[in-house]
Formats: sequence, structure tokens, C-alpha cells
Amino acid sequence: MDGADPVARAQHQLRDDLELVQRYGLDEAADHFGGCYVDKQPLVTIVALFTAEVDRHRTVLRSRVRQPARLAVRATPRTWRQVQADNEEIAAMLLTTRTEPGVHGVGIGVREGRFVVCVDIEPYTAERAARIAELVQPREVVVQQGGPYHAV
Amino acid sequence: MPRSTGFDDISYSFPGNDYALVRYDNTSLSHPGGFTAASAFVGESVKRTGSTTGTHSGTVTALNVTVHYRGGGTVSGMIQTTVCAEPGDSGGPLYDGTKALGITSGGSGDCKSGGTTFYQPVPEAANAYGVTVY
Repeated sequence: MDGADPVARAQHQLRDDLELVQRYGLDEAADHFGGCYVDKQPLVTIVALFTAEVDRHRTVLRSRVRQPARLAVRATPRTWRQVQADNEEIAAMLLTTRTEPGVHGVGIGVREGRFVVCVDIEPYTAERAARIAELVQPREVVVQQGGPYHAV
Repeated sequence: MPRSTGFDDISYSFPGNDYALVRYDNTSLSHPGGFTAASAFVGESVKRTGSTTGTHSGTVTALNVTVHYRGGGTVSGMIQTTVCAEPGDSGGPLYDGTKALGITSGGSGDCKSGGTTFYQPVPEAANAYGVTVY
């Protein structure tokens, strides 16, 4: 279990809190919940995102988690449900219902502290990235280099 | 829905998902135990073990990923990581301590230069068959 690795140890100690935060967000605050993730810089911290009533959610969560000092609650513009819906629609537009050449993956990652839909393309050019961003408008995407992928 | 191969004890789902269930009866095989199925989180440090390259570490970078594999097959709902893998590692576990997170599916790169890999989430696969991780 990586007992000698302080980052891994800190993360393991936060695992129950991480699951608690996600359950709270999905079950009790789905209209505001923007997702949660692990931030390792400078300390291992849980980051929970909400679109509204951030102070109230922070108060509730800090009263429930074991390590409130390792919990950051921040504002985000879109809920997890909205990002998930965008992700499904963009995947359908680029990979499943229709296919866009050179697109290898579509999923939800974290950029600049919030969840966004990320599109992996190869070969990557600024022109192709701009075309994909235009195709999926008004949905927001981060187009990045990635792929091709193979089953292993 | 999982598609049966015609055997009561073997079933799989691919493409769309990437998981399978196999029953083995050899009671002499060791079983470490103590694991539970759990969801992965972006930013989480994880490990993967596979029969080709052994155990490697990395970080979860994306969730609910739809991936098209060259040579055929598109899978959805995957976990994306920075852990490397190579052919033959497929089917091995992705885990964080005693939390079983994923099943190795595919990716790019190798364990010399590094890579990107994708995993079928364990909870979905276990729920599909009504089985638990232990």
C-alpha cells in the first residue's frame, strides 16, 4: 500500500472523504454539484466544485469529512450533469453516431481547476483543433494531442 | 448487455464495454482478498498490474471516456490514466490500495517511453454480472 510514499499515504487517508464528497454532491446537491477531484499540489487535497451556494456546501461538507483542512470547495460554471451531457453529445458527434477523422478519444478531464470535455486527436494541428471546436459549438472542449489507441 | 459465448461460465461485452467474466475452479490458486470495487477520481494516484509488464504507477486523467481503438471497436465509460501498458496486459487490474477501480483495456505508448491507458470501471462490470470483488 505504498506506506513509505507520503503522497500515496495522504491520498489513501482521504479516500473515504472523497467518496463522501461525491455521494453528497450526487445525492444531495446534484443541481449544484460540479464534480470532485484530487489535487496533489502543493498538498494532497480534495477539490469539490459547485455552481451555486458554495459557502453552504462548504460548511456542510467540512462538518462531515474527517479531514476538513484537506478539502477545498470552489465555484465552477457548470454542473457535473451538464458536463456529462456535453461529453455524451460530443462523443456521439465525433466518435459513435458520426465519426470525425483523426479523433481517437472523448472524455472528461480537469483543466484550470474545473471539469471540461477533452478531445484527443492525432495528428494535432491548430487548424484541426479549431475545426473540432467549431463543430461542437456551443459546447466547450479542450482539443489535445492523443492517440491513436489500440486494445492491449 | 453482456453477450454470452454459449458457455454458462464465460461471458463478455465488447465493443461498447470491455469486460468479461470467467469462472475458475482451481482452489489451489492464491487469492489476496480484502479488495472492494470503487469509482476512480481524476487526479488519483493509481497502480496497474499486468502479465506482460508487471506493476506500474500513474494518475487518473479523465473519466467517462469514449475511445476508438485502431483495428476496430469503440468503448465508452472508460477511465483514462498516465500508466503505461503493453499488449498482453489487458484484463489486469487498476487499483488504489485496496480499491479495485478498473480492468485494463487499451491505450498508446509503452513502458519504456510512457503512455496513456484506458480501463473498464470495475463497478459497472461487477454490476452487469451481479458479482462482487473480494
